Amino acid sequence: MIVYASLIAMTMVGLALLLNLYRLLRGPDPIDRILALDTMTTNVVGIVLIGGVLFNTALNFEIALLIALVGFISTVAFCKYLMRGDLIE
Amino acid sequence: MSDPAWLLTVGEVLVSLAMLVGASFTLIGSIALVKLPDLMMRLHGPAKTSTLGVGGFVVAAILDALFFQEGASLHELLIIVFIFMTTPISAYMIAKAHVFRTRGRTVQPLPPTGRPVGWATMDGSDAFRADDLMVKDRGGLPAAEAAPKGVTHDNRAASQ
Repeated sequence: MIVYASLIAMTMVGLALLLNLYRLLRGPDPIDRILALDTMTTNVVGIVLIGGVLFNTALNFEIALLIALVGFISTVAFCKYLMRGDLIE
Repeated sequence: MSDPAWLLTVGEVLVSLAMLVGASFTLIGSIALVKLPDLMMRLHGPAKTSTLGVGGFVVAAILDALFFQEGASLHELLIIVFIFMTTPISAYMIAKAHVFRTRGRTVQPLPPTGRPVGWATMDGSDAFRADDLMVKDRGGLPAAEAAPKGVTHDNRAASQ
């Protein structure tokens, strides 16, 4: 049952990633693309967590934590660059 | 550890339910990201994704470790603590960048800020307030009493 639920959940999150990719490619403003990238990072964290449950490994939580960290820092850096025109002033 | 069969069934149902709830919220958030017309509306969907969606996945992982592996390991909670802390910050940064980029060409003009500069910019008044607090905490330096508040602020705004 857990295997089927994991596969269904992974399919739904993959569909969500495709929708994010649509917004990333089409977004009329760069901020839309930043938002799509941030959402993609969150969804990849979700996929890694589902993989941890599906394959019964505890290694995936560190991977998920690292992806969340890098996604947050990249979002803040992109927004900072769009606002100030520079990262480290 | 010999668990009875019904306990394992309950565990399977709980893990599957939490995982499907998380996946549903993730999909709904991405549909909102595609379908809503404006960026300020689109910002709502992914915020729900990152709290409730990833929250459902983390609950599923914790329950899976509790029922089917060697006891519960709570270091999955690190992920959700980190995401709960960073999601409002990134949403705030995205909204601030959007306000900063679209100033002057929005449909409805923004309300006045009451400051000499516009929205989403810094004029140093926050730093001024921090300086004021520090001086007050030290017990009142003579320089702080000699210069009244408005004069210092006007000087600073004029010098920038």
